[in-house]
Amino acid sequence: MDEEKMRSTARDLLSKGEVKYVIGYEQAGFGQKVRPCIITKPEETDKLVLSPMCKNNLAVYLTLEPPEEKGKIAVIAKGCDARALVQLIQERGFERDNLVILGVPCPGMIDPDKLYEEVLEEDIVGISESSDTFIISTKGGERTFKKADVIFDECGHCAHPTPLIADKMLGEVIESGALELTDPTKDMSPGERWAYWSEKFETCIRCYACRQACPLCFCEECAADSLRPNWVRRSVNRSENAAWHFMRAFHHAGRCSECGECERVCPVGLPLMVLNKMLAQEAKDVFDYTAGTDADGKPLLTSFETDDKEDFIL
Amino acid sequence: MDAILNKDNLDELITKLGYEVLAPVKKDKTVSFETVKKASDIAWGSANTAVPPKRLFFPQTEELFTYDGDEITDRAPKPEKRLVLGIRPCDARSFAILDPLFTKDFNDPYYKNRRDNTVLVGLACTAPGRNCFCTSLGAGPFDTKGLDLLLVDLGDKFLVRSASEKGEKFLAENKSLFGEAGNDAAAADELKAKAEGMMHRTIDVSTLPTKLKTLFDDPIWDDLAQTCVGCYACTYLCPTCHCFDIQDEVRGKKGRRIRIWDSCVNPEYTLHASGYNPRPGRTNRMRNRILHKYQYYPENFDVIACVGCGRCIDHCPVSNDLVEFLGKIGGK
Repeated sequence: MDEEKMRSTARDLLSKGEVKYVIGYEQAGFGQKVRPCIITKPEETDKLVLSPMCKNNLAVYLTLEPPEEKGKIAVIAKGCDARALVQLIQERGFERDNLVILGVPCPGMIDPDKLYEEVLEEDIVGISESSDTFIISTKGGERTFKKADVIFDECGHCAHPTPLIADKMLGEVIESGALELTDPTKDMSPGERWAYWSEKFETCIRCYACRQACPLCFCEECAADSLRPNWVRRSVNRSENAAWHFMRAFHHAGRCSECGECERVCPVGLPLMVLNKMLAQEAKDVFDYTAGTDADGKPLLTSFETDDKEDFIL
Repeated sequence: MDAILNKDNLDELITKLGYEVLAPVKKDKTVSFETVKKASDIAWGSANTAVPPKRLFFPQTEELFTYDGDEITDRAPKPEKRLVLGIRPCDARSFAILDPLFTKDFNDPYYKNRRDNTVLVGLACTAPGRNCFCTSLGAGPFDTKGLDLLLVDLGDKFLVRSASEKGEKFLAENKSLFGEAGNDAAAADELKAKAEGMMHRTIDVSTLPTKLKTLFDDPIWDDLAQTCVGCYACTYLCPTCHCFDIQDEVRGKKGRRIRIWDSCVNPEYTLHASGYNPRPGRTNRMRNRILHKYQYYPENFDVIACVGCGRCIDHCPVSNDLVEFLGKIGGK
């Protein structure tokens, strides 16, 4: 990942006044942890970071609050982030003309939970990569890990590591080595499946980190917040939690960019991508549609074709 | 007074004393406090549970009362003898912080009932997490505040340190379970020093409550809020966050009134019926969260409402770091 090129591109955009600000990543806390940041001055671009720890999908910052003033925004986007941007553009969540997309081909992002089982976070002083390994420099020397062993599960299933949309591409194309998704509920009977999810949903605390971190959860009022009508009750239990997750999953069918942010941020470790992937597969099987792949296309639910299959209608 | 609890006696402690015993249990990747029936169910030595054990006293959803037409049925919990085993000193300390809140002006029967009938048996922390900073809050991995008893793991046995009258009484009533501590206190002290040495995050909080009074309009709050995505993880996972909402869940003439955790990060928290919101932006809301913990709570209860458990740092989706932020405030 070309950090220097990213910095100089951001610096260039800001000093020429082409964008109001750049949404990127900076060092956080200690170790090699990063967090999102918003840079407005060219001289601040030196603190921008680009590394295999940059998991956050920055597209979320385009819709968190209504845009205040006119002007372009530059955003750093990996493959999955770019799919979210495509979807946002299709849905008029954000105007394409106001966006400068700095595309970053992505080698897969390191899952800290996997890495920190092997290396202490505070000991990490640097991360570099070769074709199929990450080299972690620690205070005690170098450790090499196969990429596949330490990246997030969803990164292993990624079909589009190179952004499908970008104004400036900051790196060479990375081909997908996508693995087949193993759905843990695939061979289960409906009863077993219900038991599996019931147990999972029971642990949900409804902190809505899944919703808040999702670039495509940008409804002005979330149905889960509505009290009249009260679609989802405020009590936190298996039934209401399931109602919330089903509602969210259905609302993302044919929209989800499969970035995996919902699953990454879940404090109780719910396998939310299993739901999302299942619905993405449905959209693919039934309508041959993959979300976030065509900025000039239409969202699935607004693109009726007369030869659409109808065999799912009861 | 110190005593010794042989690990072979744990099953007896769990099954024979008439307590419902709650302890850390591991399911998939998550550890949480659940009712245990035998010692082997317990996931000793795991890091802090993601969701803090405040839920054992202040459940996320609490039924206050139910009604059917005009008939109301009180749902305050019946006193049941409970023993919480293996709670971390930081989490136990949260109860010492929350007790005055739930009992000062009004005795909250739901919270107090559970507190009065629960024995808190802590496990000294010998492996502080990467974002722990409890020593900065005047506590430590072997702190006993809020606890009735503290266990120190010495291999095949625990050193048992009594920390309250309730703890003394428990030891006296169940003498047969415990042996006498010989030179074990020295071994425990050694572990304590080692654990304290492992804490690598610190912050000076002494001046924060007064300093924050002058910073209400400071632009620093924008820095903190700028990348916050506004989820409730930091508040729900905080052992001392205690705000709640009250809702009626009605079906026909029947219904129930519940109290559920609320979060000041939620815009609805301060949304008026008129539509006006005095804390319209994330900046306003994040500022309130910090000020409540480090300024308002010390003003009201003479203690900072933070135990330094590091959960808000560990679980923040955007890696906002409280220790780093408080450091910036301290440097102002």
